[in-house]
Amino acid sequence: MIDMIEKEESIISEEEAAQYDRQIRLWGLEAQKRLRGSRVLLVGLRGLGAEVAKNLILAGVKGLTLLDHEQVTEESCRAQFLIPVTAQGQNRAQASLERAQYLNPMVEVKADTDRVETKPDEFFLQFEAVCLTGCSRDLMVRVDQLCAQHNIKVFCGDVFGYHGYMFSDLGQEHNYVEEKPKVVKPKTEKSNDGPEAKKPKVDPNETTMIKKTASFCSLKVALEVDWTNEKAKSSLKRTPVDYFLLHVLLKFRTDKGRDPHPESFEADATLLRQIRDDVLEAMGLSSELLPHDFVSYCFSEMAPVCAVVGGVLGQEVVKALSQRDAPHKNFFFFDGMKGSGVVDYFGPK
Amino acid sequence: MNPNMNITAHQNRLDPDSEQVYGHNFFMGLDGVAAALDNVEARVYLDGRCVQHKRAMLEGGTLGSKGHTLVVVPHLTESYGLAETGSQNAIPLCTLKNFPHRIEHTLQWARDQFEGLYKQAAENVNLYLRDAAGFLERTLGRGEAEALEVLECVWGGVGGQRPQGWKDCVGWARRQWETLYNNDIAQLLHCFPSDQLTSSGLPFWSGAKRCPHPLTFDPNNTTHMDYVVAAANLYGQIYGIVGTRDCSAIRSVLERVHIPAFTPKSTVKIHLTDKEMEEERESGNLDTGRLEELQKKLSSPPVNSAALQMHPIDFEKDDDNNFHMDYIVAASNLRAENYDIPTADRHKSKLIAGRIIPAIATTTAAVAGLMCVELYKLVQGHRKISSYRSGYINLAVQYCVLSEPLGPQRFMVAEKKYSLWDDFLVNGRRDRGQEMTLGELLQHIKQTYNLEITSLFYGNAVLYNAGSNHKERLVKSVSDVVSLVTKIEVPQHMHMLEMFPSFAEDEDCETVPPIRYLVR
Repeated sequence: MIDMIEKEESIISEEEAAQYDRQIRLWGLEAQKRLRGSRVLLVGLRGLGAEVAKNLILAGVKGLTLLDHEQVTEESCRAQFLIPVTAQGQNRAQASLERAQYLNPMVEVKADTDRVETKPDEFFLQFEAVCLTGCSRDLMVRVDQLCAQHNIKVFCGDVFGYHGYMFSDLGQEHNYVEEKPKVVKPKTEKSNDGPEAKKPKVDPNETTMIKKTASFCSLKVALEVDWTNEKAKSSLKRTPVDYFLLHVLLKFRTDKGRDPHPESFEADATLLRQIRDDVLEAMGLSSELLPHDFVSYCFSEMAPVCAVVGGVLGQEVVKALSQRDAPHKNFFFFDGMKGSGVVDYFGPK
Repeated sequence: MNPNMNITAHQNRLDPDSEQVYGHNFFMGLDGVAAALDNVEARVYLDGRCVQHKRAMLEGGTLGSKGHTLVVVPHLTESYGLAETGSQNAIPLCTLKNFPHRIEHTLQWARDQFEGLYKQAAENVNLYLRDAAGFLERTLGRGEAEALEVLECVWGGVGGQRPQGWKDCVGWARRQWETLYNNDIAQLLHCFPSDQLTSSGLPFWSGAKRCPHPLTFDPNNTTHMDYVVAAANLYGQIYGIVGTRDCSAIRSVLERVHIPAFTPKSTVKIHLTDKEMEEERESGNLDTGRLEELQKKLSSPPVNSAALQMHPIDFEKDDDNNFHMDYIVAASNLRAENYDIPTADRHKSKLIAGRIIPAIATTTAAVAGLMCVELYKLVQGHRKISSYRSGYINLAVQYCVLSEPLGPQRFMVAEKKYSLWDDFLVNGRRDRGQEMTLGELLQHIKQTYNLEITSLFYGNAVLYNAGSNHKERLVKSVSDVVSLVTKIEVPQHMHMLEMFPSFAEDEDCETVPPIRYLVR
């Protein structure tokens, strides 16, 4: 899909060059053209969805489809800045449309009010990248599998209170370039600097583009890592606990059809702890891995956490579509309580 | 986004000149400050104000995909602190003048040319016309070497060489071209031929010193013409002469422009280092005869001053039709050609010359998010430094480092520990009554802190020195002493005076907490 973009509109208009000037200076005209030819699907317009939408619209993708079947509630307004406070009862995607489009008229922003589960396979195939937020584990696994076959980049992300994560599957063979400073070999004939001349001179202003390839595994495989073998157990210490927290929260979402809600804190907290025990036990791990108070920090969506995760996720989408700079492989976890951001890989070596 | 939020918009610059608005009362009415500034100078200033008034500060910044965040908590963490001399590495003058080796050098040179020719020259003439005597006095006061340059330039603007019409502007631009890209280079090569050796027998022109070659003007060369067209138009603008973009018309004017022959002189001294340049300036080896001559010529302002008014040009990089970038690109690339430096296209030239900082929405979002996470902690009143995080991120790679902030700068005075956040806060007016005298202030410090003040400074001014004869000052009110020493009345809006003491108990200590004196 990405290679086809080159044939479409390869000239950037003056208006676009002016609008995107400050970012073109960072990632180059080639990258901007690729962005300009990409259509992205964004599922879920809660706090994180709004951040990602803003970032992709400002970056200048060709089109962004906002897909969300839910209605605006009072809680939606806390971390979702695209929805006016007066829009309660409206569809979330529809309510976000106006402010989203206003950010950049050059992007085709559309709102779709269907349930993502009801969308046929063909629906997803019209996009270069798909970003899933607030989706069930099964749906994410299914869409990921479908898209990977068609070389469509897949991203998943969620924010639970102080915690947030993002996952990317850029396919078995994702090609990209990295800009590295050029290493200039010293002249052997006229060197008059003595010892200094032997060091390869790195001119910080001269850079060269190096082609690289990265390989990604599916979400299914990433989530089904086996922790019972010895090797896995020994790496447990270096593993971010957030990975296991994610499993617990995704299971909650599957079982209850929603995320933990402050209104039913007591009941949800009890259920979360139960799920923690079940999930960790099934993995062959101790339930101590997630401390007792973990439930306090994963309710609702905190606006700043949405901003951080949305920023990282947005940039990952930009990197993947523009095929420039090394992508995160394959998870990014943010913990606003501990104050930590970690990139880690889960999957086959 | 949230109708319950009270937002007041101010459009003032936050700097020493706006302290009337952003004074003591303003800061004390805040719980904290969030900074989204775009330069270090402003950050340092704001930081100083927050430390002075002990307000928490959230600070952050981005540069492309990189970002940083900092949380400053009074009495707990370090503050933003003094500016680091990092990014703006000044290019040595000699490099710019004679030995460029990178396009950044030729771009800066072109930019300096622009400033000198089209802004400063015009501004100086206008200043001279407004007040000839004052201008001459001030200029001479800045040193003879600089005065000679400036006066020569002003004379050029008001004397006989002033252009009378468009053709004169074209002629000027052509001669400028000849000077910069042929004559000056020929002169440089005359002083240092291409096969020149240094005193140690090594080639002079090697490494960073790229041997230049003069260019020969060709009216069919695009860059040559670009320079002439831009330079002539800009020159015309400062004299109020209308120009044109008509290249063929300009070419025909050029055919009749006389270019004086140039012979390099052996008496010209070219400096190899900035130090040499400084020494030459200070040695006073200059044409004092010419300086006196210019002073005489300019001593009486011309009769028709109004007609001689010039129009200085402010560099504006974003207007593609104003000739500014046209000039910079051509001037820089021609010089690059002189020195065999790869040229830069307009886009790249603009980036470097305009000091443009690339900006993307994602880094901004992440930095803002990180700063706001700290906001929650401040509101919740966390007092453990381990609760807070300052950060460095780079979204282009896997870089996300969040760390505990550092503690404040600490120091000892008379065997007691203090930190950046400590001060001696003094209420200058007890019970809204009379202000205390300087003597009473000294006494107060002695009684409260058991420290004897031997000298007291307000900025660079000395308010009190035990060794000097300052006895009469002791009976004056503190603000009167400040007025006396600074020769300005303490402004009405100023609530707090910051003074630095020296104590008898610890004469040698370098850092002392300030005395913050509330004068109202």
